[in-house]
This record gives sequence, structure tokens and C-alpha cells, in this order.
Amino acid sequence: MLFSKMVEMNHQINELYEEKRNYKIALVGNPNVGKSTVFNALTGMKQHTGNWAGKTVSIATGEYIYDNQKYTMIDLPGTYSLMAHSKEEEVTRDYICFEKYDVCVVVCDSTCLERNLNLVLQTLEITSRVVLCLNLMDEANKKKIEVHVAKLKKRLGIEVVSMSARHQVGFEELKKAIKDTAYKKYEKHPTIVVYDEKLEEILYDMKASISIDTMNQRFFLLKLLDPSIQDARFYEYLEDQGGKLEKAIQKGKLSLQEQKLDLHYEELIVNKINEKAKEIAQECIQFHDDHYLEKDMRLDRILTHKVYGVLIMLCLLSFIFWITISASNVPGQWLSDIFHHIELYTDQGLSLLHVSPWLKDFLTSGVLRTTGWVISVMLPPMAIFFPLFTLLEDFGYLPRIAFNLDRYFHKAKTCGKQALTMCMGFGCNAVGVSGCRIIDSPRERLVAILTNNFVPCNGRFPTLIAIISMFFTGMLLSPWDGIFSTLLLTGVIILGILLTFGVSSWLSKTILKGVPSSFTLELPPYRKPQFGKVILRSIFDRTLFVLGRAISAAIPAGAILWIMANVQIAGIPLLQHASTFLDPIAYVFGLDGVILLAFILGFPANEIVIPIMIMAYMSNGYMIEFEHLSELKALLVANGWTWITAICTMLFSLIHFPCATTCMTIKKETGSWKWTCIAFLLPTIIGLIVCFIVANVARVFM
Amino acid sequence: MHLLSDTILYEEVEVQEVKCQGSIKRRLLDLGIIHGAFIKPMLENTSKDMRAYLIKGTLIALRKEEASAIYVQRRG
Repeated sequence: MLFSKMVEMNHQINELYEEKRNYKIALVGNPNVGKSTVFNALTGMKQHTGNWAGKTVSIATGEYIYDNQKYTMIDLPGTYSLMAHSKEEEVTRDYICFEKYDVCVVVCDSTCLERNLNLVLQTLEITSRVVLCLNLMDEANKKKIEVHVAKLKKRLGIEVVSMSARHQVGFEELKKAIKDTAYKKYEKHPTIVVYDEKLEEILYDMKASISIDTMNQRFFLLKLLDPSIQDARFYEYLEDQGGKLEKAIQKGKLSLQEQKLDLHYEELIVNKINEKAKEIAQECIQFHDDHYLEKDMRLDRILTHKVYGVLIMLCLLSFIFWITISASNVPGQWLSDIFHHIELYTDQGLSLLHVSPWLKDFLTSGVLRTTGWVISVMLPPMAIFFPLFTLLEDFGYLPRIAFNLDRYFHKAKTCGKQALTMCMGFGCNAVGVSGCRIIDSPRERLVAILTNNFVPCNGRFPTLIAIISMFFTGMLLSPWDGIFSTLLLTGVIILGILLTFGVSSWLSKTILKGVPSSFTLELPPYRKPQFGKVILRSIFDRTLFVLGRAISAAIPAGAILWIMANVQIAGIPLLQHASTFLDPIAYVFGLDGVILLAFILGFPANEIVIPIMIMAYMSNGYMIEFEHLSELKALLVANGWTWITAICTMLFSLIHFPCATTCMTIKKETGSWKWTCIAFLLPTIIGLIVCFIVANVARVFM
Repeated sequence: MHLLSDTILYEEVEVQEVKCQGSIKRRLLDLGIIHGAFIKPMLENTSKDMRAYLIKGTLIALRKEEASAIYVQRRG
């Protein structure tokens, strides 16, 4: 008996010990204060960061060891307060209110601490185990803003660490502060924000009527009194004993109504918190330079100028495309040579191993060649485009695009933040779709999700660039030639953007009827991009990620294609059967059976569309190596391509169903097959209509 | 009292009242647009339907509709 009890106790102690060994750290903060940078530096993870509000859309978890102790860190989406307005902010609020964690690190922007303090004060009502992390100290220094850390520490009664995460300054101190706070006993934090007298009275009465006294009781009582919140979880948390609590709340609400406080309840709370934040800020922060915003403002006046603003935007965009097109040819050639050699050696190696000829052919001409093509065509433009784009993002330019273009989104009755999700779509539509969480209104979020595919992603750029290079360059002399193809590509992208506006507007008038809801857009200060880091990060995180996905689609696709090209029915390869079947349908839309088949088979990843076409056109069933694009053009022309085919293929590449990954993301984000189907059908139908019109009009004039 | 949307660029004003409801009101409150706060229009976009305001050291862009729900007073 005694023994078994001892065993049980030992077990419990062990459990307690185990629990203690892993501390859970919640990371919160206003949007765009460098939370993800702090998170990455501590955990060594590669959560992508960018200079605009709303980059982190889902919870990321990472670990680090400090002083032989394991700490698990949770990166929560940025939020201005714990009152929750959008889907992503709700995630943060729910975590802070209902989950179990040991320490809550609130990351703040030292350059606008007053506003950030609101969140700190709100968090302190929930838990006393808070570490205040004053990030962006370098920027504050530059702007001659002095923060008295010791004073702040004393005033708030918590650990305060000043740091500059981008420059790796302050992490040791932060880790130590987290450790000290984690070891701290749970205790009731002294009340910092005192509310309206009458409200305090009501709170006092309510407290008297419930027996349990938890440290965050005050916060929960305030939430339960809030007329705009009907969340059962707040009740559950306080464990109503015999209906006492409910009675107390009803009484409290009634006296609120009597005193007419319920109409402005939220304002009542927020005003007091703001007042307190202002008071603390005035005590602890000194501005030594009143014109600290001037430099940013000068730049903003140019970049958001009524005339130049949009012009500069177009020039920047074209410039990026121009570099991408003109600089990716040479490395693309190298890669293609390398793969040619790899293929030769593999072929020889397999011969030595006496592998059967068909398997050898399957591996080299099917799998290896398709993969090689995908890499040599995709890698160079991506490795150039992604870093350039990330630089713009790091600099803080993207929200300015949203600001400049808001008029059009307003007219289309959608949210201006859609411009940001479109920008993300340039990289990858799946990323753009999940990025739509930054849009508060469900209707506008859905519009943004359904139209994201009209922005060509990186998987489609190579297709567009290859077709432009083959069919529309070489017509002009050297410098003009490059500019002409850039203009063409920019034109295609602008068409995509116009379609986005058009379709968004149409959706807003029909199936997603509604008026534009309100939103606020933060324009963060410009930050000097960290060139080396940005380039490395964007190559490793984004480029290799997208490339990896493309390859994982290319390998099985190459295998299937080889089989389809080599298995014959009635003396004709399967591939040819399929394309012959599609031919008459495709002709109507200015395409041919092979092109249509390539798009259908390219559903897993758009990058493999061109390799499929090539393989299908080759009568011998596999791709031949192309020394130059002109040889590819010769092949296409020999198979009946004209400039009409080229234009229609480009158009269909721009406007067709989203790839498999994007469709899956849409399903996940909307939670409905209906919207996923609409997202699939909408661009496909529009694309077919556009191609139909273009092809038939062009044929009349030819 | 004036509307925030009617103020001229670079004229700092003091917020008197935020006359809108629901989530946008909460959002504006969160950003520090409350009674007594100072706010200054800094930028205007092409169509003038959106302006960026300086509030507590941060630039926040608002559409005309939202700005016209905020009542302000010119500073003497």
C-alpha cells in the first residue's frame, strides 16, 4: 500500500520535473515590430519576415536551449490589442487568454512605444509573467528617441530588454530575462490601469460575489461585462460555481446600463489604457529630435506622389522583370549543359550496370530530362526575381503599392490590402491565398482568394518568358529588343492585374454582393534592406522551396509522360491519342491538343507545362536537348505554332485554373469545396473566353 | 468640429469623437484614435480617396469614409 503510493508520488514528481524542463514562451506584439526576426534568431528557424503588417499568418513553433533548459517559443500573429478584430488576431487573443504558457514576451517597436504599450498593459492584466522586449532600438537611436529602460522596468514591474534583433544585439539579455521570468513565482500583478470609478465599483461587487481569486480574474470579469463579447469560453475559464458568477455578471451589466456605461464600454476601457500608456510614455521616453520623421516623409512624398507614384511603381516592376529576363539566359544555359552531362554519365553508368534499355531510357530521357529542364528553366529567373522582390518587401515598399492603388480596389468594392496579397501571389499563388488572412472582412477576403490566381506566379514566369523570347524578340535591334520583351511581359502582368480588378468588381456586384468594409493600412517606416541576408534568405527559403516543390512534381510527371509517350495503342503513343482527341476543342481557343494537354497534365505544378509540350511534340517520345531556344522555336513552328498560338498560350498560362497546391490552400482557407470549385472554374472559363476571342479575331485578320 | 477628411494636409488636429460602430471603431481605438489624440494628415493618394495620417509616430492610411467618421478640432 505504502509502496504503491510512493511509486505514484515518484511518478508525479517526475511528471512535474518533466513539465518544468520545457518552458513555453508566447511571442506577441504589434504587427511589423520584428517578432519573426526575434523568433528566428532565437530558434534558428526560417520564418519569413517582411517589412509590412500582417506577415505572420499562422502560428509557428520553435525551440532553443538556454542554460541547459529547453524553451519552446510560439510566434503568434501580430495584433494591436487583445480585443481581436480579424481572424489572425483572434488566434493571438485566444492563445494569450486560454492557453497555458510560462512567459509572454511582448515585442515592441521602440520608435513608437506609446502605441505598443497598450498591448503590454492589456497583457499584464492577464499574466504577470511578461517580458517587454524593446526592439528596433537602433532605429530609435537614429531618430534620437531615448527610452529609459530602468524607469520602464520599475514602472511596469517586469523585465524589460532593449535590443536590435536585425543586428543580433540583445539576445543574451532577452534569454536571461525570459529565464528569470519563467522561474518567477506566479503572483498577482499590481493593477496598473485603473478604470472609471463606477466601473471599478461594479468590478469590486462582482469580485466579492465569486469565491475564486485568480490572478487574471480582473481581465476576465472585464471581458464578461463587455456587451459586445459573447464568448462562452470566458465563463468556462472562471468556473461558475452554482450560478453565482452569472448572477454577478447580470447584476454588473444591469448597473452598467443604469449608469449608461454600456454604450461606450469599449471606449471606456481603451481610453483608460491609452491614457496610462501615454502617461508611462511621457515618463520614460524622450524625443530629442522633433523632425525624426522628415527623411521618411520626403521619400514617401515621392513614392506616393499623385503622378510619379504609379509611374515609379511601374518602372520598378518593369526593371525587376527586365533584369530577370536578361540575366537568366546565361546561367540557364550553364545549367542545361550540366544536366546534359549528368544525363550522359547516367546513361553510361546504367549501361555498365547492364540495366535493361527501356528502364535506362525511362530514367534518363523521361525522369532526368524533365527534371533537368524544370531546374534549368526555373532556377535562374527565380534566383533573380525572388531576392529583388524580397529587397522591395524588406524596404517597406509593398504597403505603398497598396496605398497608391487603393482607388481601384475601392472602385471594385474590395479591400486595399488585396494589393499585398497580390504581391505575394507573384511569388506563389498558394502563399498569396493564405496571405489573404490579413483582410478582415470575410467577403473581401473571399474576393481576394478567388482572384489571386490572375497574378502570374513564379512557376508561370518561365513559360511566359520563354514564349516571349522565342516569338517576340529578335525583331528589333539590341537594346530595344530587351526593352520590348520587358514591355510585353509587363503588359501580360498588367492584363492580369486589370483582370483582378474587373473580376473582383464583378464578384462584388454578383455572387459576393456587398459594400466595401473599412480597413486601416499601416505604412511602416522604410528600412534599409540587409542585402546579404535578404539574398541568402530568399534563395534558400523561397527559391529552393518552390524549386523543390516543382521538382517533386516534375519527377513523377516525367515518369508518367515517358510512359504515355512510349506505350502505344494501335501503333500510336497514348500521348498522341490524348492530344489528337483534344485537338479540335483546343483549336477553337487558338491552342492545339498538345498545349491543352500540357496545361491539364501540368495541374500539379505549372512549371512543367513547357516540358510536357516538348515531349509531346517529339515523335520519338522524349525530349531532345536544346542548345538554344531557337531550336525549340523551330520545333514548335514545325508543329504548327504561329504568333496566334504563342499569344493564346501566354494568355491561357496567365488565365487558367490554379495549380493543385493553390487549390488545396483555397480549400483549407475557405473550408468549402464550393468556393474551391469556383476558384477553379472562374479563371478557366474567363481564360477560354479570352483565348476564343483573341484567336478568332486574329484569324479573321490574318 | 470638423471632419478628419476635411482637414488640409500637414494640419495637426485633435480628435474629439469617433462616430462609427463595430469592428472599425475598435480598430481605430486600438491605433490610438481616441478623444484627445493628435493626428496629422501627411500623404494623399492619386484619387484623394485615401490619406495617410500620422498618429502616435505611425503612419496609418484611412479611406475617406472612415476619416469622415472622425470628428476633430483644429488646434488654435
